[in-house]
Amino acid sequence: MPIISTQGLTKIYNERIVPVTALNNVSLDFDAGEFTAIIGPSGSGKTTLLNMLGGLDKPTSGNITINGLEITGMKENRLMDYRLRNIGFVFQSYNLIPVLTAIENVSFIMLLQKQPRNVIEKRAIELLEQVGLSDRIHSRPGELSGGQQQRVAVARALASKPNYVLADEPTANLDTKSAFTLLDIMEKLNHEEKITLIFSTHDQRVIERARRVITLVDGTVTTDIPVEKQQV
Amino acid sequence: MSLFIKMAWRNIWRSRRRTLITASSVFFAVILATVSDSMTKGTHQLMISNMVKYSTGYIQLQDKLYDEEPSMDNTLLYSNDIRQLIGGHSDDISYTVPRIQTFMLASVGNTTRPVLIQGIDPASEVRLNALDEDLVKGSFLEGDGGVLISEGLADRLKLDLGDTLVLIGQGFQGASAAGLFPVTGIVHLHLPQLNDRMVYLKLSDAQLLFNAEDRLTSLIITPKNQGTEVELVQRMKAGLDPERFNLFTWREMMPSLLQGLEMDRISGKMMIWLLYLVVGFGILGTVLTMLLERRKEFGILLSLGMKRKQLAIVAFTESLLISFLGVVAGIAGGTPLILYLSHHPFRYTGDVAKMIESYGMEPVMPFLMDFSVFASQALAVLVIGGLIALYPVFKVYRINILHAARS
Repeated sequence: MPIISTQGLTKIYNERIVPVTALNNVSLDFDAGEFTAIIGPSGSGKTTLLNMLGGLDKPTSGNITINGLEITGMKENRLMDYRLRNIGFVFQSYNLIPVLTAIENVSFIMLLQKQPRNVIEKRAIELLEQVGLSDRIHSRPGELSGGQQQRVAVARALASKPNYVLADEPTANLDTKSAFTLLDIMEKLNHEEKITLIFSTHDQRVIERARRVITLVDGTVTTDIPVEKQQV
Repeated sequence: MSLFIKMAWRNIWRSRRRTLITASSVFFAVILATVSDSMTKGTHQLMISNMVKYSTGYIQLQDKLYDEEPSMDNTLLYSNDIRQLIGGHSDDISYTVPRIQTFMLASVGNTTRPVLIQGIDPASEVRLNALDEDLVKGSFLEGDGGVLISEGLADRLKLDLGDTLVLIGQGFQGASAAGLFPVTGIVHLHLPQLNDRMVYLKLSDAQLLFNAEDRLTSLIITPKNQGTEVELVQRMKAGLDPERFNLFTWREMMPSLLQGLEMDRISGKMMIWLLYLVVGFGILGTVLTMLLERRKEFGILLSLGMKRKQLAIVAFTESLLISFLGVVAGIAGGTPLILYLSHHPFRYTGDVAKMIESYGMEPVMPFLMDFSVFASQALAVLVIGGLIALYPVFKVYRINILHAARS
């Protein structure tokens, strides 16, 4: 049974003025532990699809089922709670909380989940060690490089032990070395902790690592290809 | 909650200069408002205190007709009935001050002036107003037959100790009242309108002068606890014949002064609120800028799973913190300043002093060191800050997460 399932997902912006179809009848299934890259040209609907899967946007028609639970009709408060407990986000521009240190940023989601303090601290340190930032735990985002900030963002996304992580072009602002480091970390976490990763990307480096590549053009899925991968 | 407060505290220092400028505007407004309020309250308190001490007392018992026609014919017979009434409330009454007073003409050489004659019991009078401490020259009605005159009157009539003052007027039931009185003391009164015209005699000398034995124009009653005047008057009225006597509290005896002070208080408040309005717009400007700068961040926080209520708490706290900082700094700065001014009131001199005296006021600017001065200003600023801080709360509840996160 797939962890995420979309049925006839359609999103039309400016319906009453000049309708723009961002997604057109997209039906996809994602299994647990998948590492999927969604690719396509700009404006093809990648980010819109990711926003739908993250419960940040509602479809014009169609539905999304996650672990058997339909999220498209959920009230905002319940959806926020659902996001907090089930979904990790990694953004293109990191979007760390600038006034919090690395460890506080990673702890933030767990604090919102009201986890015990000792558990929070232990897991935050573990995650920062996993992303290779154990020596920068008390640094604020402004004191970290772009690559380091994105690694903190990954640690934050994983802090709540989400069912899946949505990453919107996470390597777009990184140099080659930082991008490879980040991909190594994410691939390792995907392999070891069986976390489902769904990336939207233009980046060939990500595509090469993904085990499934979905191509969107004008809001429509044109190809959906599982890729034979070597084990990490 | 501690995380949210920590975030709010750190957020306000993200733009250190902006926060300092905004908090400084609150700081200066609080200082200005507290000093102004302290001065207004201090001045009002001094005026009321002087009036109570030298003129009305806290409670006055009078003959029923004296209020309508304050003449010697409408004086009060200090009878056993009254003494029993006072004795019956001895638990509530600290002491009484008998007075007989009227206007007479005072003459020295070729100069004649209208003066206010007050027959007093020196021992009880000083309990009310410590008049003996204001003695400038001579003695405080120690012997019989002498008068104590106010400093202003002494200047105007060019009188000194040992000089003789001629008093001419009307006594009880049409009897003429006239006599020669040596000046045995000169006193400085803090109410300029009294300082220019006051003559004190011993009560017995005055009663003899007016041919009004055992008669008083008023019996001043001082309650044991200040602020209980109204209740005491209500209780005492139950034992009094309303057709023969009147009992007034000091508030009832100086309505025009209180009205004037109330007008002054309101105009002062209006100025302070105008100041707060300007400061409020300053805070609002800072909050609006903060909201504009942080729209994306709010969207991200909400998309990560932070609840709107939690984000609203952060936004509200940081908006309020700026006002709070200004208030704390304002009170910290204002307290020593007002403390100093309350012990060293500003005293006017020269023409300004004369001008103020011509309005019947003491030429001094007293300051009141009182908790209410700080509490009222702090509360006012925090209420304004709190109202302004509701705007980010409103915005947080209205924000479109996706649009904000993309902005």
